[in-house]
Amino acid sequence: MSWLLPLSIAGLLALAVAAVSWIAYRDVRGTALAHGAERLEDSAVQLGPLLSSSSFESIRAVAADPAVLRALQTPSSTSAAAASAVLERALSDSEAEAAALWDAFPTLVTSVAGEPTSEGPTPPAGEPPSWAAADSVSISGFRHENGAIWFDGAAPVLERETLLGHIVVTSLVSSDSALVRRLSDLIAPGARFIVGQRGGTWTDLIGRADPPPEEAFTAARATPYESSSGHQVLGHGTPLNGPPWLLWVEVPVEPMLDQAREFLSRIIPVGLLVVMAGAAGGVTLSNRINSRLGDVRSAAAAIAAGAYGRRAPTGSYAELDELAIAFNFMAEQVGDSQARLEEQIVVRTAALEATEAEFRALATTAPDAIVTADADGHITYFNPGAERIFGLAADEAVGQPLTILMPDRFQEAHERGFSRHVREGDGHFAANLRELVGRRRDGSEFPLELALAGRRHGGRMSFTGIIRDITDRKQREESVRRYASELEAANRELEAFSYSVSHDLRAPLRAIHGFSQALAEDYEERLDEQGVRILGRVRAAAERMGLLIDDLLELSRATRAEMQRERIDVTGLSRRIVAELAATEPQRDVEVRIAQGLVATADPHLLTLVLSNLIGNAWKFTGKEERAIIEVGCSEAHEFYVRDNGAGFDMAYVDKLFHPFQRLHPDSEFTGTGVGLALVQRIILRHGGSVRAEGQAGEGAAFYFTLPTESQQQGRLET
Amino acid sequence: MIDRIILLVEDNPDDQELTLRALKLNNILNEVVTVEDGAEALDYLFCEGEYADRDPNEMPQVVLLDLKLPKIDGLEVLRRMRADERTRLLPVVILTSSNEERDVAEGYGLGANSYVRKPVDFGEFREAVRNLGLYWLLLNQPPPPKGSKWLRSSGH
Repeated sequence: MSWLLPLSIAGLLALAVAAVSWIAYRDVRGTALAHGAERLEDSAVQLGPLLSSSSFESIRAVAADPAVLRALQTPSSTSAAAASAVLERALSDSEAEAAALWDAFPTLVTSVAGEPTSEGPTPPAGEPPSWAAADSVSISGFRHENGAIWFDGAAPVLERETLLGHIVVTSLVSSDSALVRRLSDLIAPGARFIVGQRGGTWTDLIGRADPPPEEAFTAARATPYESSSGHQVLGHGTPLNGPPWLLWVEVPVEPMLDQAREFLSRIIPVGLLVVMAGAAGGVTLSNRINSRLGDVRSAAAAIAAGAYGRRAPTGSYAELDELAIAFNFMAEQVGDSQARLEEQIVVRTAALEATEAEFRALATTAPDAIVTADADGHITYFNPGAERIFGLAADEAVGQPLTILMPDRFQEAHERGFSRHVREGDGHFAANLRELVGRRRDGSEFPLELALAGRRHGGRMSFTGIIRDITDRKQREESVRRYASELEAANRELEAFSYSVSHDLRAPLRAIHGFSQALAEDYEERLDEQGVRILGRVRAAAERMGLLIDDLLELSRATRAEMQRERIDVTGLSRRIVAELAATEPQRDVEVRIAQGLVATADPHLLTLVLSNLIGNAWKFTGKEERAIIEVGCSEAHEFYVRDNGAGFDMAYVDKLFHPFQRLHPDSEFTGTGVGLALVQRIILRHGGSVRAEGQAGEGAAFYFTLPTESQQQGRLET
Repeated sequence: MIDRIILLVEDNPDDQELTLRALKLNNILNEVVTVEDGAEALDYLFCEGEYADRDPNEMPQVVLLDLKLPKIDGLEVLRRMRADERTRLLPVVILTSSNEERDVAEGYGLGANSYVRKPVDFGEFREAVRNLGLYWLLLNQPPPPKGSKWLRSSGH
């Protein structure tokens, strides 16, 4: 019982494996043969034209020779001799071995033979060419005579389409045996080809050959048969173009079946394995069944002894089927997932390689130093950037402690910090920037910036540092600091200068003004009208100079003064400025349009200066207008504007407008120092805004400015 | 009421003369004592040095003080005046070319009573001096002089 089950399972499996293998072998063999046959047919078709390219056509020229014609029209020994000479000449020009001229009866008129060949003497054309066609060149079958294979070619001799006779040339079938073998090998190893006529003589182009079996001729495709040498071959024939011969190709079957045999040699061990596995499974199964039977038996014994409650554990042989199904399913799944897994591995490996290549390229081309180190603080990677920055080749650096990259005095601190990172760095810590000092190979030191990242990988810490040489940046920072302090000094100097200008420049002006007035008052009776006028001009000049100095100081203050930005009600401020102007010239009728809700963030004093100047200009330059209009508003593009319909200006000079002391109007028309718009521009620029002007002479001017800070709060207040 | 002294602290002779002229043209006939630098001004006020034998009870009614002065500048003079009991309440009008905000602020911060910027236009200057005289010499009731004056006024 215990050996019967495994044995029968193994036996059944062996049968199944054998049957499957045999069917598979048959399939493989059939496929190999079909493939071989196809190849064979192809080669036969390709070989045909190679053999049919013969020079039989050349005898057509001999048949048309006048001497040959004459020998048949007027037979005589002289005409026959002349024809013989033609034939001999033709023989010497061709590869033919003998030639003969037959008349239409047919009787032999004359014949010539060439030199005896190595195969023996040329056989005379003993038979009249009954096979020859009356209107075209034709070729006979093979003749086997004198131990060689011969064949004849015949060309009709015609006079006005009347057949007078035939020229027959005899050729020897012989070829270089090496050439024949090479041709054969082109088809397949061990292949053979033969030429001949069904029922006639066959040759392998060297000697006589056995014809293929009769039944092979009737088959449409390549047919297997036993060749004359006793080998199993596939044979197939194809008619040659020209001669009435079949080209027959035989290929041995054995090499084609190599594949099939290889298949067998592989499947047999697999089959054996399956059989053995089956046997082993059978043993296990048998044991299990035996134990279950034992359960049943002991259950039965227990029941017999009176224990009626006992039941054998359930289960049946159906489990075996289920087991088989489950096993097959599992095997399928395992196969599938293995394939999927392999596919994923291929895809991921490729992706990983691409990423790796990308990062390597990045590290190689990065201008910064990229250095990695292990948990012992030894360098594991040193990119070209690091080589350049530290003047150290990668193979010199790798394996060295990181401390070679820093001055000695920092090494202790580094080691403390490093061991803390190794101890505390759990997983990875965020890269942080720090400025340190590095040491080049030549011992020189330089400031550097380090971004350090650590990563725990397989229980070990590793570190990546990206290091930038910040010598240039440090120098720039230093020069910026220097410039800043120089600028500060210059500003202080300027301030001191302005202060003294405001004091010292004005004092003499006051004296000039005061004393000319004193002169005019105290010596009035001694001065004539001209003298008084001149003193008046002196005073006017002093006053003007005083105004210039004041404006200049204002300009310098606007540039230097601390700014305190506030939210400013531009509408209200503009109204106050207009009111002040109106108070100075109450007689003027000016239409002022100030947009509602204008708001800006700016320094209040400086913005007041801007608006005073712009609105003051508008007021001044509309002084000669009948209907003066001044508008203050803000465009959609958040540009504030002050517009008037006054004297305007020529756009050609718009660039001069904002330069200090540049004026576009003579003082006799409109007074002013030319500082106002320079002041406006300076203030707006200090606020980070921009200012521009548009105008046309006689048509008015418009000045636009922006105050970009907190632009969302600037402009029209939507209420 | 006897016209009392005006102390003019001014180093520029042009400004001295023009100030005197403006005072005269405005019919301000008080005696004007002119000193040319800050040290001399303090000597006068505290009766020291050159002015050691001056009557310390005769204090000027108003001090016209320039800021930019040789030796000790105007703001320092003001600081010392305000630090001293004798001159703590003495009216001081800063009369200067500068209208730098910090000077104005510092001047008032140190206890200046008025701050006048000398304009270039003499007409304007004359007008300013007229207003000064009107206020500080005629309208303003000066603080009682130290000691005797206080006793005298309380005694009458």
